[in-house]
Amino acid sequence: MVNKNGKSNTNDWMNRRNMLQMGGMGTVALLAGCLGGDGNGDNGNGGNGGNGNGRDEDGKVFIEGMGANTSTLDIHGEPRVPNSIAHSSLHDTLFTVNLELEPHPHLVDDFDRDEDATQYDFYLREDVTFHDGNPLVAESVVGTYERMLDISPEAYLLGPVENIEAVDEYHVRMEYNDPFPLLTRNLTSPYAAILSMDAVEEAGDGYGQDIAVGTGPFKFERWDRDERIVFTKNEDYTWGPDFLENTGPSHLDEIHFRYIPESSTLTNELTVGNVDGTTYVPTNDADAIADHENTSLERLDFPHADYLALNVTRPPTDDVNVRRAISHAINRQAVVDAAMDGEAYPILNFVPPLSVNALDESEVEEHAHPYDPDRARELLEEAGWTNSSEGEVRTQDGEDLSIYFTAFSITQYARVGEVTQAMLSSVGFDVNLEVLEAGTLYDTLEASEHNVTTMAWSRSKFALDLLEPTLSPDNLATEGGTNYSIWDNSEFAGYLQTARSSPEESDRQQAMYDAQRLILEEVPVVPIMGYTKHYGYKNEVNLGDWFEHDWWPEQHLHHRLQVDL
Amino acid sequence: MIQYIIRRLLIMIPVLLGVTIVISSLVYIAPGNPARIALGQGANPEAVLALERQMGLDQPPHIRYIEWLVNAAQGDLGTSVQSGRDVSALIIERLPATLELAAVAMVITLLLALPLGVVSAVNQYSWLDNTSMLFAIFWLSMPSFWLGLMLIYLFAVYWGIFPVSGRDGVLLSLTWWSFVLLPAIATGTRRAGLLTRLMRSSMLEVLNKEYIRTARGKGIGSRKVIMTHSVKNAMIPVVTLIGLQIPLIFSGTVIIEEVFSWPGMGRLLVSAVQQRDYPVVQGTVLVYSVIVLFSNLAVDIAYSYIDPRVSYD
Repeated sequence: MVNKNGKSNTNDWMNRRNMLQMGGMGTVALLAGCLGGDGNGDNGNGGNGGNGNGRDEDGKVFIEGMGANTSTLDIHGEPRVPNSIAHSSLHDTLFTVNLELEPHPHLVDDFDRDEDATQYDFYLREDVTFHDGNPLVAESVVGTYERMLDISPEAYLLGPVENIEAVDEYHVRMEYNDPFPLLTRNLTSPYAAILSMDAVEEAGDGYGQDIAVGTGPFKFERWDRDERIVFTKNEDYTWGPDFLENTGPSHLDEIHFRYIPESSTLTNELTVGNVDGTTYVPTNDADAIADHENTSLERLDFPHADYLALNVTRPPTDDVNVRRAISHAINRQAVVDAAMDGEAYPILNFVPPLSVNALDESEVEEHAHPYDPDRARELLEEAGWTNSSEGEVRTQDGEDLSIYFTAFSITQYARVGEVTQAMLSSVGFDVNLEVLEAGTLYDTLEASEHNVTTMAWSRSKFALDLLEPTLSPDNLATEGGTNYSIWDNSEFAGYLQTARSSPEESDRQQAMYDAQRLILEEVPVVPIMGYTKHYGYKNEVNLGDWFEHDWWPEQHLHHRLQVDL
Repeated sequence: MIQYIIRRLLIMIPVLLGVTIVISSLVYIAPGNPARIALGQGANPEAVLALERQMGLDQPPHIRYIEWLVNAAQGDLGTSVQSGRDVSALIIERLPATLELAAVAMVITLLLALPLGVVSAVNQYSWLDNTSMLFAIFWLSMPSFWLGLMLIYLFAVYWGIFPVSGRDGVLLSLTWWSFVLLPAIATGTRRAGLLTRLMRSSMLEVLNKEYIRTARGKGIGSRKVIMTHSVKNAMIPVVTLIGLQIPLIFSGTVIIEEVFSWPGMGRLLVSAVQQRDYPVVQGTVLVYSVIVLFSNLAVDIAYSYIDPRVSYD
């Protein structure tokens, strides 16, 4: 055979015939592979074969559906919800939250606190061991908290601690120069759990990726990246919270946290039975899951606040009457229906009524700014913004009443923005709404370019945990903080200081009430709604007394010890 | 041929350099602070500053790029901001899954498009031709995301034939096929639409050539005329398009991996972009670029075997 250049390629071993023959043999090999056995047996691809869902047919395997990926099992790493859902099953905290929503000793047998709340003595249980066999001792606590102070974004939970020491094998002392009465409450956080320092030292920078060791009812087995994380039962676990029916060991042999990013796919996996339970229920699928013959849904109105942050430094939202008018213009129930498919509840006070130290509802009703578009228009008139007909943009000295409104690109935030934009327009605002991706949005907020932004704060179970990060003068967004109202109010700062440091519970409570009254008066934020939390699960799953705890979505409080299959 | 391959390999270097410059520039100028995003909304400013220093964000972008490039040339693609793991390890874990999905998607594309194109051309204007073209336009117009969700609903939820999502089973086992088939169909059918139409028009052009008329006149059977004399010649432009489809197949897997929870590089890239995990974005795009360049080289080499007139010597 001669090519167009006159060269012979008869002797060229890579000729077409050989290539076609090789291709044909490869195809035959491919088909032979197809006719081979299926994938039963350990294949390292996320399970034990069988039905391909990772279930070990010989044991009780609970599969938790996760709509967001876990990035680390290190409790001192990134404080994201999917991380804490996973790592909270591996660890215990010194204190947990009981059914009365009070701090309750867990790894601690007993504790003392001096009158000034400047010294704490914790006496540890002596029957607790880590997954690596090491006993829980005072040095474990000291080492964990020192590491927390060094690298954890949640180090503030320990407060302005001056000294942490192991007084003896099971006795830990923490000392403060100034009163810090909130310590026991803060130590209920999953980010304040106790680690095996031997495991941390052994793993080095890789801790939380291939090794994670705690004292929890489950041990870390393996992590199939982007597929699932597998935990196995800790057979030695008997120190679960004593207000639970089962204090350990778990009824389950394994838990798999299976990552399914697409929400409709996750819903389908739940209804066909490949996922046993999930907290990642899309609001528009909630009814479908509740009504499905294979599944059930539990709902809970939860203290998780969704609100508008109003920039008090930028005209026209620097005028308190304009801010009050914004609050009066918003029909919160309509926002709940449009943005959350009804799966939320309207709130008038920034601290949701279900939060600890929330202002009494009767007082809120008296001082809040509920939906009243006529009152909104009156306030704008009083502030000098006028128009000649309803719906027309108001003006003052030739300038339009324009506001720059930013919203997260996440669906529910974008919908809140779109719905409230229309409501504000109806009372005379010219609203320039921009739906922005997170990185761009934060840059805009830090530059104080916004008038209004949608925002939510998940840590609203205690009033102080909501008010301090969102409105403290020490947390201004322009200085990298999360006070997106840029509200620098010294009176408010004083209330926060009292709530944080007064040794008397009654004084702290009163300070929180005063802070909320000030917010209702000055309106740096417009509360919109509190979220409804969901848990969708298969009918065959027995969840025991899980839902008796008012904070059951906080899975670290019960470790799924009640769950059985 | 060897010289041609070496030349093509050398040309890849400036191409890859250009790709890394473009993607690094886009990543560095994208708004959003990676340290802030990594630590979350409630992070205190000191923690954010410390992580910025650790990530090298206090250095100018061109310095960061040069450092990354020097390390990448030595096989070190850096460390993920989000997980703290080596980027190379993250990619190696996920690369097989993406290659599997892309390969099966390409096979489906070819198995659908080539026979359909030939049948359409041979039976021009018949009901076969019209139906094939209708399918081709249908597949071309179908958003792959929606197709994926519909396939899940029909075949996994309603009929229960296939699993809903995930990846399991030994490679090429029945279990594996049950997991890969639906996402591969969702990825591959869109590409098949375009290829079908090209195969048809290419076949029609060849079937109208004089040598085909001569072959028929000599009494050569219709089957041989089509398979021996027509298809191979019609494949020449089609092979070119196949080469262009390869990057589109890979970009298609990004969305499909999300829908089907297929643990490939696409999901890694999406997550990295959202979290501003620069090293992972740079490393993943670099690997995708290498795959595409090598795939196109393979297609060009295959070209020389389909058309004996083509020589790279």
